Amino acid sequence: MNSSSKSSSLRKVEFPSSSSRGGGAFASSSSPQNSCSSWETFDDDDVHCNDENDDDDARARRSVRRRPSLADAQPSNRDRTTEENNNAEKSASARNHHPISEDVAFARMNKPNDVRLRNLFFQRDVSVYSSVAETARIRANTFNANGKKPNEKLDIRDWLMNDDGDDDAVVDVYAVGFQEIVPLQVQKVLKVQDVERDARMWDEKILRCLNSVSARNGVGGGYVKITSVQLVGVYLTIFVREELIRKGSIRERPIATKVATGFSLGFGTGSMNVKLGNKGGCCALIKIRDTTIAFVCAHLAAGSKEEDAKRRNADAAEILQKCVFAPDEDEQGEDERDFRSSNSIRWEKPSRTRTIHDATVSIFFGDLNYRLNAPKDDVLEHVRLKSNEAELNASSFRASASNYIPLLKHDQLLNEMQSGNVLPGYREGSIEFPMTYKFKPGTSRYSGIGRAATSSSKDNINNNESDYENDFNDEFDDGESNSTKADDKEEKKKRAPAWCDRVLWKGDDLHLLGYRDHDEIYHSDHKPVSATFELKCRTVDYNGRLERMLTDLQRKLDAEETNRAHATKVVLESGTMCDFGEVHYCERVTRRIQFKFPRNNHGNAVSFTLGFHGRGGSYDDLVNDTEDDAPKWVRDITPAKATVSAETSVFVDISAFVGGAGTIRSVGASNSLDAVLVIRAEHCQDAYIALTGVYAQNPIFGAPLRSLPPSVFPPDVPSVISTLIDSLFAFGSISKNDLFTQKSSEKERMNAVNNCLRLCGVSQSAFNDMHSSSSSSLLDDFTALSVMSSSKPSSSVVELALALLEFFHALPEPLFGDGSLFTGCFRDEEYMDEAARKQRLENVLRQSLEKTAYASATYTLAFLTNYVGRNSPSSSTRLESVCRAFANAWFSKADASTFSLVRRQEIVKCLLSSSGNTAATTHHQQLNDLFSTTNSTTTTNSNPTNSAAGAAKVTRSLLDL
Amino acid sequence: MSNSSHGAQQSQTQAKLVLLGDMGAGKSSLVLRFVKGQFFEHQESTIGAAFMTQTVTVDDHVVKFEIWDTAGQERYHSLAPMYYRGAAAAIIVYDMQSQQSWQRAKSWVRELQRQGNANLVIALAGNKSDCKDMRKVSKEEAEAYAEEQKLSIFLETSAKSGECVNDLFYSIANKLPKQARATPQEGGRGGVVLDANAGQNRQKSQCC
Repeated sequence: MNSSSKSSSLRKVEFPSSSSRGGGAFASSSSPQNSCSSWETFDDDDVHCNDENDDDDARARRSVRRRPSLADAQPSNRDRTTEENNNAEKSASARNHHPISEDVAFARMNKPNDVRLRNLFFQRDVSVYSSVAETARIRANTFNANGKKPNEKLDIRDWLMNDDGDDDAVVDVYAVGFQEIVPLQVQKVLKVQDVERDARMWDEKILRCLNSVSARNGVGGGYVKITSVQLVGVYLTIFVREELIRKGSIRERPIATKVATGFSLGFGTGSMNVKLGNKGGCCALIKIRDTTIAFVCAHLAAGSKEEDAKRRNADAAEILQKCVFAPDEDEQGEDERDFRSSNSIRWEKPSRTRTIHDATVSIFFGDLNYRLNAPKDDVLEHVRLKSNEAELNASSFRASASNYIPLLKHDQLLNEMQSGNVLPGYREGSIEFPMTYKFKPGTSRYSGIGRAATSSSKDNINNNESDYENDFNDEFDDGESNSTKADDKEEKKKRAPAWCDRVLWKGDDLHLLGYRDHDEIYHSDHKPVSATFELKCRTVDYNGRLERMLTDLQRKLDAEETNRAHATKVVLESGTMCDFGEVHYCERVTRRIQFKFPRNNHGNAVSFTLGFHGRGGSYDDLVNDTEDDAPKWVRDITPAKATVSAETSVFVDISAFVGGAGTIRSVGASNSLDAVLVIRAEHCQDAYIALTGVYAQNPIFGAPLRSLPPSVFPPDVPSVISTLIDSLFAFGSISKNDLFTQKSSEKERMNAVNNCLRLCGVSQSAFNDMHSSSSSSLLDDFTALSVMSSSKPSSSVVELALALLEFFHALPEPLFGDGSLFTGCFRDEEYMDEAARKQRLENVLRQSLEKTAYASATYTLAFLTNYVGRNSPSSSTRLESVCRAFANAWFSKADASTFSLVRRQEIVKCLLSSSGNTAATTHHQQLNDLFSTTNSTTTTNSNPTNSAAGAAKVTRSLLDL
Repeated sequence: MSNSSHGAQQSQTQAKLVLLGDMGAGKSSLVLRFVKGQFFEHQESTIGAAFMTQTVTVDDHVVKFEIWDTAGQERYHSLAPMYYRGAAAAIIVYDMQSQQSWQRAKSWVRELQRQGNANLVIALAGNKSDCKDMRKVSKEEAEAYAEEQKLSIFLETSAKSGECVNDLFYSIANKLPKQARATPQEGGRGGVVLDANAGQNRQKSQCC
């Protein structure tokens, strides 16, 4: 058998799922937790990875570019979910591939807590970020010594070093595992010194053998033991070529640990410390370059019953699970420290506690105790038939592989591994040697085959150590009858031969070169087994490829996050614009928008809100400012929030309305109505609808006082005020008690505004036409029109009053501003009688207001005084209503005012009783006299045109005066 | 690998980054180039705003950009404050082939300076450097302006060729953490949030 043929004949056939993966990995696909593994072979992994990246990018590109249509939103989300699940599974199984432990990797990544990144990282192949710096030859030797000490005659050289290979390459690491290094008797087991002494004897023997051979072969430096660990009869000891330490390939102190399984000494006390340790595992972790190798030497539960296989499975799992390598464990024995100090080499301390999962590769070997799932007698009969009748030994049996190969299909370990019940991810070389157990000690004869009780059982060797010969091991575990030293009994127990001693491995960087037994060792009832590997020892390209890979992964995650935020997009069925067109003063324009939400995987119901806020920092943060950013001119959004079904069109009405100084101000000088409505729903990308429109500037409402054409008489009063007031007189306002008490609806406001404009002889559209030509000519026209009104006002006096109020409301600057000009009037109010205060207020008006404002104020005040009257029964209610209405119209809105509403009303009241502008008062008086007579002869609403004309006449006559 | 190499103090910054500029300046293209390494000759115009994340590592510091790519059209101007409020950084992009774009960029600078977040990292990017023959805004002029306005970064970029695009974002990332650590953002809605987990990494450097 040569090594190349062996390695190429890995047991692919039995594990068909592995063939797709190449490399002969039969490990994982049958085990549930590995079912999604995406391990790649090393030969072409760069290609693989690039492909994968491309796919990811392509996917991201697709989902962004193809603005997700309704139809595919849902399935794509579902895909993602399953994909994530798969990723989680992948990451669990793929860890062992990484030469650097995850913490190290993530320390480099500066992002230790991002699970998603971690998962992605573990899906990537090591070769992406590391390169093979050297290869090391690793030899794993296992031997169940059956409790016998090594003696001088025992030649372990072949077992240790011979792998039948043609090339005599130097082995760099020897991992030697023993089981039953001491007889498993209770009294022996408890004698710690004895136990340790036996282990040291083996160490010395091995080291002597290695160094004598290497010296003979001229291999420089020889070998040193770097670590060992013992669990009662299980002993793992590791030797490396000094050269590896000297040249820095091995720098980190190896860590070793042990896990006891098997019997608990205290019978169920459950404490680990009293586990007898008759079974269990010894584990060691060494690091060559950045590749971490775990060795697990195990002695699993014995027993030939079928269910015992399950116990072995459990033991193996327990060992792997519990084996924790703590960096703080005491430094190892004297020998290796001496070596290092003499060479002034210091171990680097392992940076943290590790588990078996941190290993890049691991080798699990020992007396795994798996038997053949076949009737004992049948097996024995088979062996007997195939063996040379006379010899009944393994030599003749082993002569032809066809003698034992048929038995392999009954092998429990192979079957259990294939079913994924034990050691998932591990592989084994093809077994091309006969069963390694159970031999008559000192022979190569299988126990239980020959005639009972031959005298040869104790021949040849080991007579002096007969007290070690008891097989307590099986007594403990099998619970069979008490032990006896007699070989007769031993023969009668009739154990079927089995491949108990095995070497398994995990990790693609390990390449099996040879796997064999050593039947030349007669020392024990087991034959030793050895496996030789070539290990690719990697160094991680931390700053180059690792960093690039992590950057790429991060990019991928970011893309995923972006895609998630964009997962669902509102379908704007009415487009991204909502145009209100021309919006006139106090004239509501309503538009309907239509949109729908595509179905997504968050259920059929979608709750949305419409507003003027989007999301803030990260996509899911809503901007929750208390300040209302809705533009003042956006009047109603119905509904502004609702829960609707996906795929159903939603209709929302939005109104634009400009009325009052506040809204006009918000529209600004450009007169453009612009806002962006944000449709926001959970799990949905924000959608934006641009609201747009033009505010058709009004010639009267909202225009500054001074810009308005003055009336002919009284001077300085804007014609609109005089027209309104004259009309009020003309239409009999004096007789109406509720002139200023009615609450106005939006529609009434609009009518009032339109009537006022008509009264003043301008229509909004006419104005706009004129406005577009020239403003100076407009004013001329307007002046003429206002006086020579030929339109027919159908307005009631209430509408006129409303228009008057609206006019003041719409002024860019309220007539009295924020009221601060009156502050002085109230400074020492206690000593002030009403007349004095009135005097002061009037003075303030005269001094503080510019002349148009002053004229407007006094003229209106005069009218109001007249309206309120003196001693009529309705005076007080009229007074009250007028004060309330004008306290609002003449001052800034509530919170911008210096004064409270009560105080403002007081000011208005005070001013009303004053008689400031005598000319205006006289004028009003005359008007009043004139119209009261007219009204007495005509009904209130009759022939308003005549009244208006009359008013105009009066005005002109007064002007002539 | 030596142990000392993986115990560095790690921190992660989340930074809101907003792109502003005239329509057609190439804001979306810059983001697309940076995030996906792609470029489309006819990038459709952004409606409202678009959101993307991108994480970059500078030295030992990880910055996760939450990028708001705003629409350049004037009608979406009203949205802009929503996105630059609380931002840690802003990239003002102009098209070096357009004076109008340049004027608009300057008005964005003014607007950002008016809103008064002293910690805001403002980067000025003259985009479309791939066709320098068509240049209408000289590098000198823009450079001088950036200096005068004390803008943190000025670069001429090309989303088409990729020139200086990464530089732009990495320079910002570089400027961020220091500022973020220096002063906590006012108003409680700062754009920079140091990862609460930073520094809690249980694995500490242990050198023998």
